[in-house]
Amino acid sequence: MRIAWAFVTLCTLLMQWNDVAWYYSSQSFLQIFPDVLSLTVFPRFSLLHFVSDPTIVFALYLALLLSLFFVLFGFGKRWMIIVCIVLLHSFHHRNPLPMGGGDVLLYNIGFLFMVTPNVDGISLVRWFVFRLNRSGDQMKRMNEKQKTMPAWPYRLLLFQVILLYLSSFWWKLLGTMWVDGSAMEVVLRNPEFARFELYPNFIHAIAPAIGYGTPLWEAAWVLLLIPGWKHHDRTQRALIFSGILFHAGILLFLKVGSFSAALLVAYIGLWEEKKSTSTL
Amino acid sequence: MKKTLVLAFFSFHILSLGIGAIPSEAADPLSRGFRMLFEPITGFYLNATGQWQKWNLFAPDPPRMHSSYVVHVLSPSRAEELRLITQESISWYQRTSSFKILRTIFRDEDRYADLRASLLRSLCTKWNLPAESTVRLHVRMIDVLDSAQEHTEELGPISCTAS
Repeated sequence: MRIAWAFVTLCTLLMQWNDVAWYYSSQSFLQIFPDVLSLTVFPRFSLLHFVSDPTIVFALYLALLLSLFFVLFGFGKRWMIIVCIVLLHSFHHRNPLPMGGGDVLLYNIGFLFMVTPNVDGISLVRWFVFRLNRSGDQMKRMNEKQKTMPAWPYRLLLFQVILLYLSSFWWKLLGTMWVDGSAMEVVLRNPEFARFELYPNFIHAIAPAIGYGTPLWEAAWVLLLIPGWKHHDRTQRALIFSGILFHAGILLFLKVGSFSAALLVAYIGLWEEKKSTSTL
Repeated sequence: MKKTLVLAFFSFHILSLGIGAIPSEAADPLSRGFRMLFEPITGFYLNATGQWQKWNLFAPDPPRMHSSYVVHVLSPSRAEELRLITQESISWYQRTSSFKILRTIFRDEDRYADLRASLLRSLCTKWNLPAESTVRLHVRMIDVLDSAQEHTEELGPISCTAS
């Protein structure tokens, strides 16, 4: 999961390569602190509130990419994750306007890595070394070690995903288009979001089914909050499997940034860690 | 002791995420009550740790307007130049974030007025325009369900001297 997280975060940040100065430095359109935009009444910390020179900002951006690269290949994991999180936090708080839901979720997953007691386990470098040495036993020992890790980081991740879907469901109920079934027609006919130009009649025919199905599927995640429910594991597997199809569909048909990729990273965690965690 | 600390962190983190995920537009008494009771503490924690979140993709309602932006660049030495900011003119990897910024800034009439001017001025530096140039922005928004519904907006001209 950590490898997937580092890879997706690295890819999303690389897409900002040409715009780093324009988003985050003294050359930015956002010259005032984000707090002035009434985004929050609470104070926020960002290294980029003290550093505004475009060259230094770009150097910090490169440091962030490098630290993610190290996490991806498994070098200095704990420290590198801390560096990643501090820098990600700084970029997000300097200018939250380019951020989407995917960026928020990737940061949240990274934060969980940072506080997770055992961040050892498989890495790309170890995987290659083991493959070259044909040392399957060492791989097994590594996986055994993972089995002893506490369950609370996994539960926080699960809660984060459930909360995401339930909050999204709640937001949809506050509007009118999701209730009258026209929301997906608007989305699929808007060239700002739709990857393909589909026939309006076709969109009109399928949009209500997707428009009502999406919030219902999101609401189904509430089932995982029922304590001691005997079908919990089966339901979770079904939700994850349907979620993979759902987010693959979003990825294929809509331009919504890293949102789907971030959720697929979270699913890897929910699928894998379930097999290897003990109680709190 | 360690177990107690972990349990305390676990419970507080979950409480904070739960309170933070309540939609800001939810006006029912229970949501308002929870926010009033816990937000002074949980909001501080969420912002300090960067855990703030708002899961309102295409909600409460998805945007009905499709926007295109044209920047008129006027330099004394050259004829007026038009630079398009459209889905086709921006590279695929910059498209989502660029349009997200523009959509946010031009969504609200008053709240982002200063930011719009700042955005237009910053294009002088981004595009390396001569200091004596002026830039003007023309925004066109079309309703995706009813193309007869159109809204246009003009911003500027703004001089590049001050940027």
